[in-house]
Amino acid sequence: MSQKKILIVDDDKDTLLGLAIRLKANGYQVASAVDAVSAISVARKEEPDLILLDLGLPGGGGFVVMERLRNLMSTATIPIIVVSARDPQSNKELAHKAGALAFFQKPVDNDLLLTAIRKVLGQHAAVGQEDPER
Amino acid sequence: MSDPQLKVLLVEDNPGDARLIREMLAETGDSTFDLTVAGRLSAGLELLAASQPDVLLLDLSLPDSQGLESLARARLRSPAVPIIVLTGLDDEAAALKALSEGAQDYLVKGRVEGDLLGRALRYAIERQRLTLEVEQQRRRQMELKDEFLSHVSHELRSPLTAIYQFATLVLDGLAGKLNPQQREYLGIALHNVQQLRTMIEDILLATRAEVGKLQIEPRGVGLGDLVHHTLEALRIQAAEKNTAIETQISPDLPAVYADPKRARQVLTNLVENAIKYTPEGARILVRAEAAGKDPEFVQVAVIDNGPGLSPDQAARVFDRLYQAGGSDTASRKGLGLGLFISKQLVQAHGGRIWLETGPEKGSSFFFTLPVLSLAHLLEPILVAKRLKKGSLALITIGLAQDEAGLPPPARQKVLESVQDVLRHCIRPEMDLVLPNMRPAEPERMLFVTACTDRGGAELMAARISNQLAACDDLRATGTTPRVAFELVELRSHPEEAPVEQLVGEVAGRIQQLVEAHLREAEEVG
Repeated sequence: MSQKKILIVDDDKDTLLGLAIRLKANGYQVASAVDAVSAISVARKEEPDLILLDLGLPGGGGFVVMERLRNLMSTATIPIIVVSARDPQSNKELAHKAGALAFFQKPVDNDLLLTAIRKVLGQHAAVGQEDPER
Repeated sequence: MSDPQLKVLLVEDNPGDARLIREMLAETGDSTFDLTVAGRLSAGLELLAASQPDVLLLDLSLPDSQGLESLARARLRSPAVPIIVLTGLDDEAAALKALSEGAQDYLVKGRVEGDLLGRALRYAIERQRLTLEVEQQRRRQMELKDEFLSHVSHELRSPLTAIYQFATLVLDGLAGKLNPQQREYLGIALHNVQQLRTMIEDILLATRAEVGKLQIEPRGVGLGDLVHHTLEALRIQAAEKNTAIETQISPDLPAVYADPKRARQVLTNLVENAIKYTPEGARILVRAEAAGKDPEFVQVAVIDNGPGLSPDQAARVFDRLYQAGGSDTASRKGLGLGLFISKQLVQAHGGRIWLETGPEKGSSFFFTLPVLSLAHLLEPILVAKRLKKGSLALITIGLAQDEAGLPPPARQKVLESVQDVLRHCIRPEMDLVLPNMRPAEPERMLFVTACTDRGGAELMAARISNQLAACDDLRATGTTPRVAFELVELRSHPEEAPVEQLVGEVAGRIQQLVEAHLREAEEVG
């Protein structure tokens, strides 16, 4: 089985690095972007199997990124998991509506995130219906 | 000079008194008062709402309403309009009471003269304006505080995330092998990350509660499981203080309608407090049972045999930032928000929280959560779909014999797979996978309600059936699911019929069907 590729979009470089090391250690290939514009260009170029997306990004928020990705042929179907420090009470539903399969608030438990990633990347399609916080 | 005219509404049943007031206002030589008179409270309330006067003069003795009752009704109708109450010579006590219930001033009939009346009216209007302004400022400040704390908690989470990530990377050996001491120290660091995270969340929650923005996401929850899972996470903490936690959970406890994350938070707060404020070797009992007086609630109690609280302390424990101090309780760790938040969370569920305690008597905290009813679950769907007619399909998924013989973990796995498939097959806004209505028993059947007609129900049942047949977990355990459906026709309701009536009726019929299926399955099984 070929390695799955995950794009991490986060403007906090430390978080990005930590997450990248964790994902590589779990056998994933990792691409990264630190702002909205590069998120879209890297997504088009790398065509990842999954995007982990932060919401507060320079150059347009995560919601703008999601909308752009949905409207581009090559990226429209890439699954997205939102990982943000923002309050779920006001952002979780918005993220789901924008097409994200799940919303995790930072700091997210490693096991929870990895389980969600595994689900999205193949076996089950139902991850969006679950609430990862519970 | 041309002051704007001030509209005065007088509610007074005695025509003589009314005339007197009219004359006094005329006497002031001040033409800025425009007086309207109503003889009964009912007429007065209508005028109050319709004409929005600048000030209301309210007689406390009216044919259709007496005393402070009149004041309360007027304030309810138009909270922003200042009110001056009028009383007789012998009833100043009632007038003073009126001030504490929101009247701006009072005038004693027979002791009023023109100048005084004019001034009282103007002062009342001005005071009310200031009161409202202060209230508005207070609210604005609360909102600013909420925004600020939202921002702060957001900003704190980023560095916390990095700390968590790198600490766990090292702890998981991704930066080389660790010796036991390094492992222990990192574990302590991580434990504190978790505490910091809880504190950040608590600050935000407490502020939310203050500005009335606390939201919960209730659903059907089995309380027994919730209690066990919550306590599982607290075992280590309890063991460190050599504290024993016992549980008593009524076997026939119905499911509750609660936000599981929040219910767990309340219970965690109570048990953590019990551990924290009792001496080494204490005993804690967590009990879940029907709430004696009220069949619509379930009650959870956290009982400890610690030192208990004085009446003074007990009265304040649910206050914001209160901490039971004292030199012998070593730790003042934490923000003192736990019980305040717990109270807010329980109230957001419609439940109650209270404490029974006394010095040397231990502390017993109780809270209640509403029992799950199908009506709770169906209401949002029926309301959103304006489903006054048409039909609702009840799809039944029976799990056959073989599955009943499985060991519990495998059984749980099968159930989870079936739930996964169901969630995948339904439309989230319109259809519903019903929670286990008998959480004390193993689940034999799953139910789905779908807003659809016969054709739609057939399609959906077929889809569920096909997907279950393709599910590996079921095949591996030799489980053969049976899928069937029936229609619940919604009788045509008049447009104005209250929605609760419709919801109650539909929920009742579905409940009957579900119960019948469960009984049938029991007899066969």
